[in-house]
Amino acid sequence: MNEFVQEIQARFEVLWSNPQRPDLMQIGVRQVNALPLLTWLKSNTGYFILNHFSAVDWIEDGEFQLTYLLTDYAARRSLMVCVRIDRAAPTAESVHHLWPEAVTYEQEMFEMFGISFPGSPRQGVDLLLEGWEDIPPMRRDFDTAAFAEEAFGFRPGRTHTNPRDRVAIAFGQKGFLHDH
Amino acid sequence: MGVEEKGKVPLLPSGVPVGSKPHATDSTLFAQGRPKPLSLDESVAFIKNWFRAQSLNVMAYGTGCGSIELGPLGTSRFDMERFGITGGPTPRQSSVLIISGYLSVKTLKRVIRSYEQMPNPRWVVALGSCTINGGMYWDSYSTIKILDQYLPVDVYVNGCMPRPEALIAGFKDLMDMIKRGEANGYIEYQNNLDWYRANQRKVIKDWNLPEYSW
Amino acid sequence: MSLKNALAPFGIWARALARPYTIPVEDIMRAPADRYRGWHTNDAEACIGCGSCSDICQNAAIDMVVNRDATKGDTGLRPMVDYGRCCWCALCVDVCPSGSLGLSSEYTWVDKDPEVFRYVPGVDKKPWDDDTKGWHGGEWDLINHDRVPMSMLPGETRGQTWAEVVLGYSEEEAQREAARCLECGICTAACPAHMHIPEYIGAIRDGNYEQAVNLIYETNPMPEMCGKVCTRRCEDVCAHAKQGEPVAIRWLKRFATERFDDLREVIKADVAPIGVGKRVAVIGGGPSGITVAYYLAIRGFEVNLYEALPTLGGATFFGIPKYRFPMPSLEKQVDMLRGAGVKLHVNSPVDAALFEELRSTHDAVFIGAGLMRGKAMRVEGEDAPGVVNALTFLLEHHLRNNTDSDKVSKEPVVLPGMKVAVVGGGNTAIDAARVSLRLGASEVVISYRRRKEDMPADWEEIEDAEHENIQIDVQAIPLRIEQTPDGRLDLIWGPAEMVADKPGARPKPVLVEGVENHLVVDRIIGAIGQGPNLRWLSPEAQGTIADKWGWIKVNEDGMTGMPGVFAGGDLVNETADAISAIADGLRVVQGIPRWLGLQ
Repeated sequence: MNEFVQEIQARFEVLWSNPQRPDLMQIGVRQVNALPLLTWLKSNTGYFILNHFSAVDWIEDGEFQLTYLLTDYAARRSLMVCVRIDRAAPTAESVHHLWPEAVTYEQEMFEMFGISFPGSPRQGVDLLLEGWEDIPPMRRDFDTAAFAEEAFGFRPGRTHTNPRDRVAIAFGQKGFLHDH
Repeated sequence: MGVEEKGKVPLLPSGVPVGSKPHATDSTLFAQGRPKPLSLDESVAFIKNWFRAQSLNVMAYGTGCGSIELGPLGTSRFDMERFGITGGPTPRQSSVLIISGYLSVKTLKRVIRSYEQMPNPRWVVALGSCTINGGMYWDSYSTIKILDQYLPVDVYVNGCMPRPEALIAGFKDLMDMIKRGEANGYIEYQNNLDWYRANQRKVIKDWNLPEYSW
Repeated sequence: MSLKNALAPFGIWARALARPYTIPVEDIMRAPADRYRGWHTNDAEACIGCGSCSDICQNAAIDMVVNRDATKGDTGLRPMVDYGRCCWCALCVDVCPSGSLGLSSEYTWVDKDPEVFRYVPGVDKKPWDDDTKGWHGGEWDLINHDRVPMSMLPGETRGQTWAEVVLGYSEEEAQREAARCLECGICTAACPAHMHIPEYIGAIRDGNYEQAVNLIYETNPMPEMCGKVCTRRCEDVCAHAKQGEPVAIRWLKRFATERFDDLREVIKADVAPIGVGKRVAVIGGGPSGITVAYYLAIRGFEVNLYEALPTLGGATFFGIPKYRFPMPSLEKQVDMLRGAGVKLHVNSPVDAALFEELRSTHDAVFIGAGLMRGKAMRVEGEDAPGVVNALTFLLEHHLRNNTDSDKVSKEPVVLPGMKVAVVGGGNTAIDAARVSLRLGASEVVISYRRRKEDMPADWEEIEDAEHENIQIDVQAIPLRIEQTPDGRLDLIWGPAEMVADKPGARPKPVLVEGVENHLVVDRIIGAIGQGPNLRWLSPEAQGTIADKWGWIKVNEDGMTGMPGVFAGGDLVNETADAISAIADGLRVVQGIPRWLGLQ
């Protein structure tokens, strides 16, 4: 698939490429090049099926990564197009005009990550989380266990003792380098 | 935990508090007189309950992974119809609601609406760990953890998921409870509706369920 | 609607007595598969409450609840399973280091009360407790039972060298071994000093060696010694020891301390200077004395340490051969004392007059003089020339090789080519044997009354000795020692048979009468134990602080019957190992400020 990456490179800037399997190539492109590249792939190559479309939260980098998984069923090959977008103002161009099925993916990403796709038809319509008020739950700064305990509560009556603490207290473990 | 104390203990039609068991005191250890025949009301209730127990219509609504265990119950090995258990196509034609595992908040709303459309008497069977304390979805942002805060549960069948054999055992328990007049979750729901409503509204943010006039 | 149609449904009654197609109702309850995973079982007596099941549970289903008192080797906690969480993945069973947790094959549990689906397996009795079917683990484990092997000098060559036998872990090996730790903390109960073992192993695993050494120094001022020669009771109770090899706690401590050539810059103490202006005298520079001196000195006390020998270390200096605990390691720990400001007085034996002077010039006196008297074998002919006590032998040997002391004999006790017999089965016997071998002895025999599994010596030491071709004669009771006409010694011994003693006690050896074996050797080293020697004190002082055998009795602060005089170490505890001495020292470190009213 390296030749195909060369072919893309001739038209659009490919930031990095990573062959994950003989039939699966991963490439990274700039956000400005994403829509032209996807349009070109759909119109001029065999990769005209959007198999999957999702996002990853790279909170350390302050970015979201959008991953478009395109498949060439004739050649039995897939191409992952990865696009990093700003996490502070997550907006990306909608691809629903290329692939109608992207509408559901975009609706889901708006709900789960808060990434908006201006122009996408069902943007903002509840998919799974009806009446959600917190930050989008698939963002990594969302503490799901704490939310679950606060929103739903757990059945009371459970107590846990840390074995290490119990031994330390029962046998009077001390430290002599520090005052306690 | 954010759960208020339940309201006053609901009463059975006979005036006995739900769940109260007679204590073995001196007066109950020894016969106090000649055995009395059942009153007419009690006899009618007994016969009604016996018939109810023999004909359970399970609503065709699978809420979680456990609904896959319901299928085999209709096959020739388990053949639930011989116990008088059969499927109910709509809520209004059903008497048993099976919560088969985890319940997302979105589904909870539909479940409540279905449950409230079911005619009395109606019973709820909860399957799996998830209905008791969240199960493996204990830290999920979208599933409820303690089912009996939102719906009255008559029988829990534990397992992850319980096998069809365990489900049959659960149904038999439920039938026995109905015959004894102990499966009274629906009465509890009516008597404590405000408590249940408050809990339901706490998790269902876009509340738009109809209020039935009961 | 015709009448026929109306009556048609009643045709079903024609089948009323027919045999049903479905499987009879009594047959539908299938027996579960042999390895079906149902409700938990637990052998509450075998369980050690380590909490590994609770840690691994992805559903937070398992709580450790208090069930009994914590003992050495048992936290007293038992797992409680919440079946509102459990998904029967059996990770808890596969990770259980004691192998006590299992899953029965029982799978039906119906109740109308949601609060009942929670119990402590093995403690709350359930009908399925004795189910042998189900999943009880054992076919594979999630924990690694095998410790990372330690590289050592080959057994054939090390008899000729004084080089350290154990070579130590590499960084990669240490981190791999540290990652085996389950962090249950059971080991801390068995350690006399209750060191922060899981914490420092965790720091080693994370590559945070400075933090590890600081955690070690919280309770142990001689960690390099303990890292090399500790009796490591911690490893006996390690959760891994139930089914596999314990975590190499000793080697990990050794690894952490050996990372640093000079610990003075690494150890960061942060204690209030409560002892400024107070003086404490420490008699004896062994592990207990070093502990008291170090921790009191960093608290601002003025500490004078008196040691009779030319160098500090006590039994760890003269008792432990240098191929196990080399001098540079000892020097490193003495440097820490100097860095803390302890005034060291070596070659300064304390006598009765000096003791009284110390008492009058110091606020408190600590006695950590150790056991300096080797016990006699009590056999006929013991005073023949060539029969020596192991303590004397080792002391003389170490003074000759590591100091410029003039209190040594003209030539070593064991000369090249000699045949040596060592009587005893403890670590001292093994040490004496291995030192003799390195001094050039042609043949070394250890003669022990009981069986090999009864030997009090460390099993690794016994193995090491065997690798060095030291012969171990067991069940041999020495009868008498005779001198042969050619000036050699004849150790006459009789075979013993093991007879069961009281329940709980080890079987005792009983002499088989009428059989006499001869072992002709050049030197006989008696290593059958040590006793206290307080003759340097005045008789009145001895009577006040010690019983008639010379053992010192102390209260919970470590203080003797004489006010202001504290004691610790082998003179006080019966275990007579270094880490117990350090624990005694730590008790006195708390006791002296308390007695002086400084807290």
